[in-house]
Amino acid sequence: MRTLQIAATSTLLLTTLLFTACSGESGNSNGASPATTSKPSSKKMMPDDPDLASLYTQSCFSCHGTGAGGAPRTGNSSEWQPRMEKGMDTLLDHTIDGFQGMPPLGMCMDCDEAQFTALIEFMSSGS
Amino acid sequence: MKRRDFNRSLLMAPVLAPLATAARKVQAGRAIPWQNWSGGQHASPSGRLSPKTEDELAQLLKNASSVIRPVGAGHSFSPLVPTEGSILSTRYFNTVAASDDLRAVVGAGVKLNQLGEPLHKLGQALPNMPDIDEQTIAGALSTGTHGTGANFGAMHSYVEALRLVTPRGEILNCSRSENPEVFDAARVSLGALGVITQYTLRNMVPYKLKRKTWMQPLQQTYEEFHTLAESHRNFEMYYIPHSENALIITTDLTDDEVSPRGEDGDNDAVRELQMLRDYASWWPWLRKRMITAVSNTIEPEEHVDWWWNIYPSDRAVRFNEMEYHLPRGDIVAALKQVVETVETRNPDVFFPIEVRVVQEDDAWLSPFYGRPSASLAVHRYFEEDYQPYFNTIESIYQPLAGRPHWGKLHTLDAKTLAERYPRWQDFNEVRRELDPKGVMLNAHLKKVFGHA
Repeated sequence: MRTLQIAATSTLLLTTLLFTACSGESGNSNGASPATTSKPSSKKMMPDDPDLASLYTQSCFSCHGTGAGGAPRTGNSSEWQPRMEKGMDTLLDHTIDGFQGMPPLGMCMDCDEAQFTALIEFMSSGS
Repeated sequence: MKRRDFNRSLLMAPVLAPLATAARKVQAGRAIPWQNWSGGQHASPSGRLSPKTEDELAQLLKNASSVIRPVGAGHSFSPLVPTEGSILSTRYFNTVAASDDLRAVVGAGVKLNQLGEPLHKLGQALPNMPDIDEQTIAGALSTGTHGTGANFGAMHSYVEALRLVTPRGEILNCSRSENPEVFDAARVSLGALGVITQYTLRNMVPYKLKRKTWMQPLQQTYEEFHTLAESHRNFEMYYIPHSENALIITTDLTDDEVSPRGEDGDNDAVRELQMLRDYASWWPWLRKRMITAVSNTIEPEEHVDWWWNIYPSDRAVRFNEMEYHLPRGDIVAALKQVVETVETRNPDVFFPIEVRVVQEDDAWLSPFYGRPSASLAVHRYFEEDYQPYFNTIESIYQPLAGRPHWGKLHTLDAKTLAERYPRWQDFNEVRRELDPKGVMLNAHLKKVFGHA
């Protein structure tokens, strides 16, 4: 009897969860506001250095310029502050190994440490 | 053979500099390893190269003292990239330009998710696309990447010309009328003939698609599979493991108003299936009831959008994948075997199993060479060991002369592959001619081609 009660409760719980997911109310894990309300300014920010801009456009922009997948948006200090508090070493670890929605190397196959650092610094400050 | 005008090189003035700056050794400080999207493939390359021009690229290949492997977006699950030599990015070959008559010239490093909107604005559309758009165009085409559709070939079917830079330092224009044998070999060539820098694609006028998704019983789907494939422009299905259901996805041309897909629920659905697997793994009967019941609650959906917004799905849950391409007539029987295997021997599988259809083509190493095909793909959560599961499933495909997706995991070697591909010897003759020293061969490709 107890087993059946647990089973019934878990069915209800998981049905609710899946229904919620499929109804399009899925939030993202870090509580950032969804991409549809991202400020246009994130999309317009671009590094001054043309080489860095090229790396940023081809690797980082599609998520960090738009907020897709819960990525902290370029120039959005409130989203970047908790990340920067973890320290650059940790952020580099996350970039290289992948982290949540971010794939390993942040999709930049030829970036070195200096370039990753410059990209992270650009995105956290927007300049 | 034509050489590009050397004056076009951005690094024209410091002629010797490109070799020094492009071949960037690991910097002091943190050595950046390489890994693929899933984290399943790793390497510690001694160099990372990103040539800015074809001439620079030709010099790098010609003067290579170790292996050079081209890297696209790192999305392949198979070890096509790992090397202790150098990995080479085609990042600077990144332009998209309209040519005449619905053709476009696309740089090898352009990612699929950076191709749709520009093409659309040029008044062109790709005939078909896969459901992941993170890959570079060269990586996708070189591995035989495809969408689904009974009357649509894989993406490389729509290539009319390409430019290949070879390990001998040549820059070759290839098409059906120019270097035709290299063209037939290079369209699907795993980065083994050199480095492709651009493609000329044959496109269509932009179109809107109506995408419908719904759940239906798996048994019913077996019976309707070929009818569904033939009566829709694009059709694919997913078997939901340990349930009685299949998810059907169809797209067809439409003139209806756009009603977009909105935020993708796919990732959450996969996570829920993982939770169901973990939570109810102690009672398989109940889990089957629960997964079936839950999948029964999924409402049919319908969306309309322009082509480049409809095809791709967001894949934030990382996984490893194996996909085999089978003669289309054998797909239902193969799927039944896979389902039975999963149900009886793999209780911990939760990722939906994907089945698609692809038209035949004539690229020598195309997995769809000479036969209308269907593809069957299994996935494993990236943190879980895929080998036992994939080994079991892979054995089902061998009696059917299955051909693995080149960018996905498989264990086939040169001996078996030679039997599956009628033009295998022709391909290797071209390969040995263009790359006599084996510059492009890492350990995986040595196994695939049998190069000693």
